[in-house]
Amino acid sequence: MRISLYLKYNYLTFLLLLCLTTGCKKYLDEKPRKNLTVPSTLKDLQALLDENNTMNIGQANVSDAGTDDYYLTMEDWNSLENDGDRNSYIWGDELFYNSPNNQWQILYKQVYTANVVLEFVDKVQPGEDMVTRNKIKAAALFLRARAHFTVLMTWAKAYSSNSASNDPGIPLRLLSDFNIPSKRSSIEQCYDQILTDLTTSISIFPVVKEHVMRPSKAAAWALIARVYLNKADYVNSLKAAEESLKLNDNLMDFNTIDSSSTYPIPRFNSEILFSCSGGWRTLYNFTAKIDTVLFRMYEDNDLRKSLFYATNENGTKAFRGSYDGSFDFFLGLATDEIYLIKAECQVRLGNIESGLQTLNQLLVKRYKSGTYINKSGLDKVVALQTIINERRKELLMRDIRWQDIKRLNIDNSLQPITIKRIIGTNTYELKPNDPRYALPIPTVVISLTGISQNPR
Amino acid sequence: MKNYRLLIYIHLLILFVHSNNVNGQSVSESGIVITGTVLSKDKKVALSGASVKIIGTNVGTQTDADGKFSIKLNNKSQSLQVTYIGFEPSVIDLKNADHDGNITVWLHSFERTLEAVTVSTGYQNLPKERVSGSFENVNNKTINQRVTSTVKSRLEGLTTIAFDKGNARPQMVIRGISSINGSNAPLIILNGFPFEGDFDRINPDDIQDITILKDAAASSIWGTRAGNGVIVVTTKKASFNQPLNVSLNSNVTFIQKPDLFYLDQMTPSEYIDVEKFLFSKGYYNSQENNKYARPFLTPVVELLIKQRDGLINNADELIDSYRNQSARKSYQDLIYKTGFIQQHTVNLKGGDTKGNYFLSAGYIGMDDEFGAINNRITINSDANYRFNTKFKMNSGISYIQRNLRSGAPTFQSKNSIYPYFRLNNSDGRDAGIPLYRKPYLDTAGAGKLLDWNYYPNSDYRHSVTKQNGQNLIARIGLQYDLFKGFSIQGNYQYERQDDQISVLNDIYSITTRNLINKFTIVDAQSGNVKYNLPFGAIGDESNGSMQTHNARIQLNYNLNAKDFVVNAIGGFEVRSILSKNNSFRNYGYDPDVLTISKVDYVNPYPTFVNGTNEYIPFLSSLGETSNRYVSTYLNAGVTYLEKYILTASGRRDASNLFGVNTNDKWQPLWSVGGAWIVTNENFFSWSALLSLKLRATYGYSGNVDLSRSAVTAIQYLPLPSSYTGYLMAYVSQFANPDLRWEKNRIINFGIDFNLKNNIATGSIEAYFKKGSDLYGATPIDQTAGVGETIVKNVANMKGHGVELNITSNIINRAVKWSNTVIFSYNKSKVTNYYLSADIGSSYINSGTSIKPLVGYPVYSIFTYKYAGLDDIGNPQGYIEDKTSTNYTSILGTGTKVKDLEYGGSAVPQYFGSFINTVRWRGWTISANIGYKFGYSFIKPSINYSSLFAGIIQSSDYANRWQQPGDEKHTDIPAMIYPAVSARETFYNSSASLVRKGDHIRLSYVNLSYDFNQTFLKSLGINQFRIYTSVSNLGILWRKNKDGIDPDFIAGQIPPGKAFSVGIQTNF
Repeated sequence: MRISLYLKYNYLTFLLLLCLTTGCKKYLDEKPRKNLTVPSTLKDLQALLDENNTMNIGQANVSDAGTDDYYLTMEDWNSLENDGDRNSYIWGDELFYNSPNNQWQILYKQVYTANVVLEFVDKVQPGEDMVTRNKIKAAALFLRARAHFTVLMTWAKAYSSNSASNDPGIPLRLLSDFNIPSKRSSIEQCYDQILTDLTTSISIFPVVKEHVMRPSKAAAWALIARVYLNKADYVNSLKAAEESLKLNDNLMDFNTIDSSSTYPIPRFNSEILFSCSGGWRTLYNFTAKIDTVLFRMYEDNDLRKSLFYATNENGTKAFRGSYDGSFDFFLGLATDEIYLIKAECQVRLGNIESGLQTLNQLLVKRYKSGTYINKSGLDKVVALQTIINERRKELLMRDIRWQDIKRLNIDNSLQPITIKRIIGTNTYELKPNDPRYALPIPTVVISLTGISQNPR
Repeated sequence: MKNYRLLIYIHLLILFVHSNNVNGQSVSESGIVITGTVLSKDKKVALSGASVKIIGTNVGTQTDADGKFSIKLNNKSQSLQVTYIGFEPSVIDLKNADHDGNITVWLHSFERTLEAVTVSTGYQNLPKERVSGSFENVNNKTINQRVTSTVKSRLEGLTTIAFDKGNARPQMVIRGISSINGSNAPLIILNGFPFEGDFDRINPDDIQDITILKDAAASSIWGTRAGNGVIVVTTKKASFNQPLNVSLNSNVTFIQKPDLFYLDQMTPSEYIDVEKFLFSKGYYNSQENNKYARPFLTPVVELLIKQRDGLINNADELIDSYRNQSARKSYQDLIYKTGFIQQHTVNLKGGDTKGNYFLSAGYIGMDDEFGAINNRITINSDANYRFNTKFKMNSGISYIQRNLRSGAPTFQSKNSIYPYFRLNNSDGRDAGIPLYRKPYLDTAGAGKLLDWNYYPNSDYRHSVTKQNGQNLIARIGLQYDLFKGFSIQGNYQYERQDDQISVLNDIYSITTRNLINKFTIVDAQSGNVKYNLPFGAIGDESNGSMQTHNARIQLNYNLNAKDFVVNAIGGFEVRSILSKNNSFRNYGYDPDVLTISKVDYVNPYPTFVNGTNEYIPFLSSLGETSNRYVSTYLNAGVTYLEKYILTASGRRDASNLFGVNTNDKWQPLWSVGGAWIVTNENFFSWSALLSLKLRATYGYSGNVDLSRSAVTAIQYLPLPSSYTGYLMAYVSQFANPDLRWEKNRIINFGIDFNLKNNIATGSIEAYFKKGSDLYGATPIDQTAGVGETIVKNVANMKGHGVELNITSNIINRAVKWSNTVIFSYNKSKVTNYYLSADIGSSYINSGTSIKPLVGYPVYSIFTYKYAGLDDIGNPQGYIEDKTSTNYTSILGTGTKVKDLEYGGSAVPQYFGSFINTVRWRGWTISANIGYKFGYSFIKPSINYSSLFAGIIQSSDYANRWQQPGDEKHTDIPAMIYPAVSARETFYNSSASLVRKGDHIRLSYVNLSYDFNQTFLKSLGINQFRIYTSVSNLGILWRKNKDGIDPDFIAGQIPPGKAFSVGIQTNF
């Protein structure tokens, strides 16, 4: 009796343990957090690209801090809290020390997210929905290219066909593995990679109408136009601009905009191709005073003169024309820029009249109804200067001016640009093609990667 | 709900139906079975592990946890010998056994103060002499030393646990930290199962004893969660055969207001000087002219503006009138008050031969120094029942209800209060701080807006947080004795904690007024007003619940052979912890009639001050986490000839660690140990030493952090984008396939001794810890896109230490004086760091975070070398051994790791306490003196960037460099404008601010009087005691010359002195 009892108990215990252990695997497969998941659907990937805080808000515009579109008073410059903010105004050394607005990091975070999406996009839900899959892939390629291009424009020299294959560009990160060491590719390689990403994007981008915070085919063409423009490849730039305008050539008539709002230009307006925004302390309208030369360039009938500017108590001008409809700056792509690219390329390629016609298409919407006089019959240099001036007047505070100064100084077809800063008794000057046009890479990046710092 | 209803039913059944007697004697063919209980005569508690032998034979047994034994005799003429360490052996003539074979054996202790110590691992209770590991027992008397409301605070200064008041480091540490980045909290075991709720809610008066498991042999039975040590808490229980006993403990405590002037701050007058200086530099111009944000400017700045604009001419006079005003003084006088705490606990217990029960009810009411109210009711019950000699059952239910109502915020948390602000005006009305510039608010909205001032004196009464929490624990355990010392037991526990937090900002609170104003549109021409937010309170509600299920099945084996005693257990365990929470906000909320208003979350509205379009904040979220563990374990101890002890334990854990394959989720941990009771050797004949035990253990414990991942994981944001309406997700865990569990090896050596006549008793231990694959945050190239640091297995560390706990009876006559010395020494250092980084600034450490540097403690202070001030008052550092003021370079590539100055350990390396107790007749007085040595801290000083931004700085301001020559007698930099943040960072991270933390403090003094027992007996009372206690008595000695209490730095204030008085009785 004892033995049978013994066996019975042991058997029971054994059975119980067996049941429990076989149930373990399933029991342990429960996710620790409900909202946590390994990307496994196209929806998951789309959600990563739709994360506005990384992809659209708080974008980089530190290069604008060094442009001639604005100035600061000595008192205001002194009262800036971060050394990095003060440095950004006088093309100094460290920009992001102690700063919550580390724009290098912001841009590469986007690259990382885009890389994660590109690594998963062909693996998830095999066979499902090619249109959505292509759209996500194209959007990720666009976002990676846009971030890389912004870094390139900010932290590398201007493109010069003679030296681009030797000039240090930026680290291109094409995989999400953070253990891969960063190294600087040449400027030529950087342009190649950015254009490869963008042309691949174009080739698969379905044309769908979506919120402008999502990339689109028109936005991708627009970015290609901007990239080629900075590479001085006007043929390809023109072609891309025309392709973009085929998909979206809307222009707002500024006569219809109510100027009484603090920020009159509506957010997500019909000109916007891709919406993103950001800020930098020195540029905010409560300290940044608009360059008087720039402001004087507007004619009296130009509606931008009132829609883009507010007057401070002492008569100086503050910017309020952000396409973001707020004190933050619009840093995306819009049709007005594409018209201007198209016009510039046409003029550069010798089609001066068509170039001026393109410009007229834009400007007629910017002047009081019936007051705009069509431009024509200008010689090439004047036509070019006119378009460049219009770029300043239309595209200020959009992280474009710095690129323009760099390429125009290389290009030399117009008067080279020197920027001057006066703070009290100190004067600072940035001569054409100064090495400081490539901003200093954060010291911590230099020390952890060993990549070369931009010369000062 | 269902889960515990059943238990309540069973529980009540046990409580009331146990009078049904079952015969304890059973006669088998070959003899009679005697059952009995061994109790201590003095303490009237059951003695577990006492040895019971039939005289003249080798047949023997051991008492179980309840002091019960059962032994088979050939005939009734045999006698039993009952022995127990520390007690006089007793011979029982079985003729004395009552007619049903039940006997009660009373043992007298050798020494009245020596107690039979049982240690609990949570899985089993073992007599202390049978274990080899490091178990620190905290008895009931020690737990009652302090008059505080939490169990945690009752352990402070009375154990080897290190308590840290700093905000950044773990608060309770056993034997130094074991993990660089993982969890550092010890595991709390309550009545055999991990307690997942809020430890502070347990009523300390319900605690019987606490065992701290410190080495691997003690804690490896708890597996991967035991890496930081384990605290095993056992609540009070009744014994069998115990008459009804009622006890009562009741006390009140008064707590002084904290002293705000402990904060090291510059004077309001100095602050005003700084404002005047900044004004002269045009610092406020951009704020004054900021039409978009209209930032608040202090009254002094506003006066200076008026003066500049020629609007007033008595500005200086008005400004000077502010110089004598002090926000601190005003806050201390008007907001802070004397705190009051009352605690009452009543419990009753009793039992007969079949069953016993314990019931307790407690109430704690706190009305603290800030006017917050915190009430707690605890109900605790425990019952044991024996169906027959083989089948036993234990069950328990405890319920805790806590209600909290917020009071005023601390002074330090309100940055918006400028130093010369007064909480009320001379007419007694509350003074306000405008949220925007006063001249702007004077005209803004043309009277259509709500008052836009913040009133610190009353705002907290309109912004009230209420927190209600309920905890329920229900457990049941069944044990069945199989045969030959085998028994099987099954245990189940259900635990639930529910919390409801509601924050009600009524229409008078600044939060609500501000939000309503922000979304108000006043038409400039017509004066028409549109309120986009409803008039009414804003209510934020959040609810959280946590449920855990624990189930265990365990096989026990206890053998009492002639030469051997074996205690072994093995089992299988499943745990799941499910937490859920949700939160939401209601606008236009009326808590009286429960009505709310609809608002438009979809469309943005122009905000009042700057016209930027914003969405009305939508706050709703849902969350759910689920952690699961499956474990198997084994633990065995063999005692040979009552001299040699060998123990071993092993455990495997698996969890649903995210991103790890199921196969890799199992983590084996084990330990072995041995002990030798020297005094039981025949050759040992030194009578001065009553007992001496040497022991050694070796083993591994682990640590797991479920938030680390080996795969890329994304997390959805609870709300879709307000711009696009699309769902959003972000990468929350960066793939790291090489992720491993942290592992800790511990070697422990210990000596337990007891000198004759109890002159001294105690233990000395030494341990060596080695941690490998520790998680750590390491700087990463920002270009990789995953931030500035990433957590991975980065380092190994080593630690060693000595612990000493000795109680000696210095005088033992009519006056008794005993002294307990608790001493801990702990040193740890990083031995290997997998990544090499060269840049010094990444390792600058004020001791609040862990930045591993090989050869140094995990919590270290690292600073820049300091070369004093130069002749214009700039702080100087070094670059390549030359003094330098190139701060960007010093903070950047100019300082290598080797150039940093090590400022010492940030946590005490030597600490402990002296407890002296003097007794005379019924009087007892005891005092606890605590000490901490061998560590440093960084003294907060002055940061001009912060000062200019309006944050008040240290009184060092007065001693700053002001004119050439000052550099000879001060290290405090000159005030320069504009402030260079790199210079400020350098100075505040420099060696000149390192101070030694060593100090001695008087923790508490207790005085009590016990009424004469014979007198009480005549009244039917067993015990009656009156006691008083004074705690937080402050520092007796400190090494730093700055008057800083090193336990309270950087904005912390020591608590006020607490005075308590109470009574304790049982009958």
